[in-house]
Amino acid sequence: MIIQLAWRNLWRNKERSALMISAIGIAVCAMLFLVAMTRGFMLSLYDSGIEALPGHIQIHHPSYLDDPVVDHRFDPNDHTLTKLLEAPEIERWSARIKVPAVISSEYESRGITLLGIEADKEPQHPRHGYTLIEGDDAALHSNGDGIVLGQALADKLETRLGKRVVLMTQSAAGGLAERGIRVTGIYHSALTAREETEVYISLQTAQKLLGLTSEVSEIALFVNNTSMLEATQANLTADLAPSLEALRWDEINEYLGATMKTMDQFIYIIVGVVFLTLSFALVNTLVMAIYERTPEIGLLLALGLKPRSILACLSIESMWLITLGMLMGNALALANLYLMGDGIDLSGVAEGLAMMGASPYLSADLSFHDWAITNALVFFLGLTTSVLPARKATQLDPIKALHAS
Amino acid sequence: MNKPNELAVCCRDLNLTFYQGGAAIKGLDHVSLEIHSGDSICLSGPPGSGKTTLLNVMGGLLSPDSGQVLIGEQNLSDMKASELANLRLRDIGFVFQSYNLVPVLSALENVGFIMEMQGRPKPEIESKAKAMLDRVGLSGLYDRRPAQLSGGQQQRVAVARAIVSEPTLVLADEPTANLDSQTALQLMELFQSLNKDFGTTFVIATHDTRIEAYTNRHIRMQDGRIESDRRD
Repeated sequence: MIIQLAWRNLWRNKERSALMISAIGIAVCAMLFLVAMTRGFMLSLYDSGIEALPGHIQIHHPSYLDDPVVDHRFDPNDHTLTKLLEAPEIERWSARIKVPAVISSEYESRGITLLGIEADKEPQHPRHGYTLIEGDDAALHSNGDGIVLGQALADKLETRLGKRVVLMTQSAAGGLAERGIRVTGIYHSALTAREETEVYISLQTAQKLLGLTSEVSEIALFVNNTSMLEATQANLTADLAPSLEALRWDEINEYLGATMKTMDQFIYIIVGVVFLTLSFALVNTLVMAIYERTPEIGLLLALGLKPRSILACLSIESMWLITLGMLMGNALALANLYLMGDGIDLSGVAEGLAMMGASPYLSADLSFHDWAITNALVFFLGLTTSVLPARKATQLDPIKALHAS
Repeated sequence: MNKPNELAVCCRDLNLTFYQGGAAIKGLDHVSLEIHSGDSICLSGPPGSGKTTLLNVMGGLLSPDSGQVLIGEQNLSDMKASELANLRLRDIGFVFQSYNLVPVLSALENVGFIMEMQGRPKPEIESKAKAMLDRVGLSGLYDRRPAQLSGGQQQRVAVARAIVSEPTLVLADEPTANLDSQTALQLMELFQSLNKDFGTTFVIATHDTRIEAYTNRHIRMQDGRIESDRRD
């Protein structure tokens, strides 16, 4: 009877209830939509970050990140290391040379980061967060000879595909290593700074230039399950030689790591702020409903209905209101996300997004976890909020309430 | 239901003072009263004489400053709020002047509401509520909501609700005040016949002296005191 009474009370003022259900629906839709968009943005940042690093975990000489010179190198063919990299949780790995260098054309010289990579072991599209726009990257495969550089750098150097440039860097012996090399590919990256500073040659070419046999600057590895990243790192660290360290992506790119963590919190701040706004409307609706029904509540109390039954009745009424609003909100949010398809084209502000390392296509990503947390928060906080005015109603004096106008 | 002539309610030296604008108003002034099962009492007096206050004290809705009220053997002053609510739910029926019914429930549901709250089985609730609505002359109006009933019909539903669970006592506060005179007299005839047929104990507070003709005991109040108490 209490449930039935609550349901019928809900529809006593149809306009008000419909308005409130719509308000809850729109708020829930906004929450889910914002959560999905923020998560999508985070995913874009993460993907770009991982592509640019790239890798979930990197192995270096402990001093390498502070001073990324050829002196801080290591041999990837070490037996223990090779064994560790065969662990089932590691999906794939690649070795790289990554050292500071100078590139010169006939007209200009620039300081760059020289990357020697094994193209066939690196992520494919886009490789290192770039897209080839001229030539090819065949030179980056084993025994390839040629250099792939960014469009912005090519412009600065006033060079182009097929022309030769000179690379200069410190050799492993401590002397100057230099050689001329032909431009075989030009890439475009969302981040202009990368186009200007990162140039690619094959790992073997880089080793030859630096006077190395098999040593590298870093090993980047991708894991099968990113939720097990810390465990994988711990396993690696436990058995790695003391002259090496294994760092997660968020330790290497602390800015990205901190951004991801902040945005993780930000998602729930969004939910909290939207809910706070919603809760005022919810409380107001219930206060009005109780105000209008004061004589009736007085009658029920006078007839012997327990205050907890009144509380239950009003709380169930709120529950109906919140549940219907949530159903509407979820349907609206899912429809919106479906209609959005591949994402929103924000190419108008692509430069700004690129500076942050995000894609110009902002897509939504609504995980079950976010969906469940958002709905659970709205439901339980909504109910808690509505209990406050309902509790007040149970404390009414039946006689005064009966005669309230 | 209590046996006829058994003591249903006993009020002993009730005193209650209200304060309004700094002035003390005697709501009840040394009121003592014994009500027996099957009594049909007309509690009359001018407005402010203490009729409603006495009714509210007997119903456990107001606590006296001093004195005792016993419903059967239960002393109201010893009871907690939840026990008083339970007593009202099980032993006392109420009919008020207005706001008597729950607007979103049908006549049948309003009558069955108290029994539902008492936890009685559904078939019993339905059959008793229907029988009681038939008895008060509302056959065929089971599914009507209060807004679809006249004032007189609404009061009949309230009376049906008050007596359907066979309480020890039914307290009616100005039940005819909002009704036209003919409907008011029809309602009083109903009270009278229910009292005769079921032996229900009624205490009806009213300022309408015509109602005395339908009850077997007349108590007149003045300034919070019982001025006269006579039986037919």
